[in-house]
Amino acid sequence: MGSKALALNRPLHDTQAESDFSALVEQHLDSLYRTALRLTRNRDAAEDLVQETFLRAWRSFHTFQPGTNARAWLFRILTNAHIDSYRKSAREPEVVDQDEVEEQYLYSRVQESEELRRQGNPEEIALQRIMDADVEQALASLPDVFRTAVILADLEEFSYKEIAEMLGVPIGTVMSRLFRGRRLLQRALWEYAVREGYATPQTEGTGP
Amino acid sequence: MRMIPCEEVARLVWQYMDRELDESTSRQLQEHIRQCRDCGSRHDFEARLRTIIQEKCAGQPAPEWLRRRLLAMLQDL
Repeated sequence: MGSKALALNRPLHDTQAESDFSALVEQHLDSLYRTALRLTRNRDAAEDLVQETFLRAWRSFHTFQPGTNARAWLFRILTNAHIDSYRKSAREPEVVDQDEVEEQYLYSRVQESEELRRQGNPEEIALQRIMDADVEQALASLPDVFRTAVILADLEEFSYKEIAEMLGVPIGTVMSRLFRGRRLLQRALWEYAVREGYATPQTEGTGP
Repeated sequence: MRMIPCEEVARLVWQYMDRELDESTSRQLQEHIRQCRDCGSRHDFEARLRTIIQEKCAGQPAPEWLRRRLLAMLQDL
């Protein structure tokens, strides 16, 4: 048992460490679980990932410096465990097309849309449609590295620097993954908004 | 104070929203966004979109059994 050997680094049944660690589990479990669910897109895999994260966290808990950012520390373990699991299953991150360079993809499409302009305030209408969209599904459709960046920055609100440390990549890499991830998410949402627009009954025939 | 061109605002608006710009650039952007209708509209759209994404992807808390299992696991290690 590897865990037994590692556990010998600290006194047997270190109750203080156990109760400190339990408190940490209580505090961060919900955000780790929802992130695991977004990363794996699968309930069973998310539960396994959270369990693996806590095993790893407990084993290296003696190296954790109290007073430092516990949440960032746990998320680093979570993202590493996730990367290891998809490496193990030999599923490499998908390659995406590199021709998408425009910032704020959705805003640009909304500005250009004659169809939205005819109906009134284009931004309002687009945002209304997106409120009805399956945004979780759109996020789930992103390739792994880009989805991870969007989850950590936009949903868990970590800084670029924290994410760079978690993933062990330079800040510039975090930014390019995050911006590409946002563009891909916006493109998926735009495609939804367009489909929805054609699907809803309209007074004039604007269908394809 | 140097006025940032609109293309620059478009390029930096995400970093601005992420609070990742240095203080002086951030202040210049804030001022530009306040004064320029187009850039203000771009920024508002991005900010509202992010709020919608956060609300729609809020997720769910960990199941109670998982919490119990992890704490029980800790006892056995």
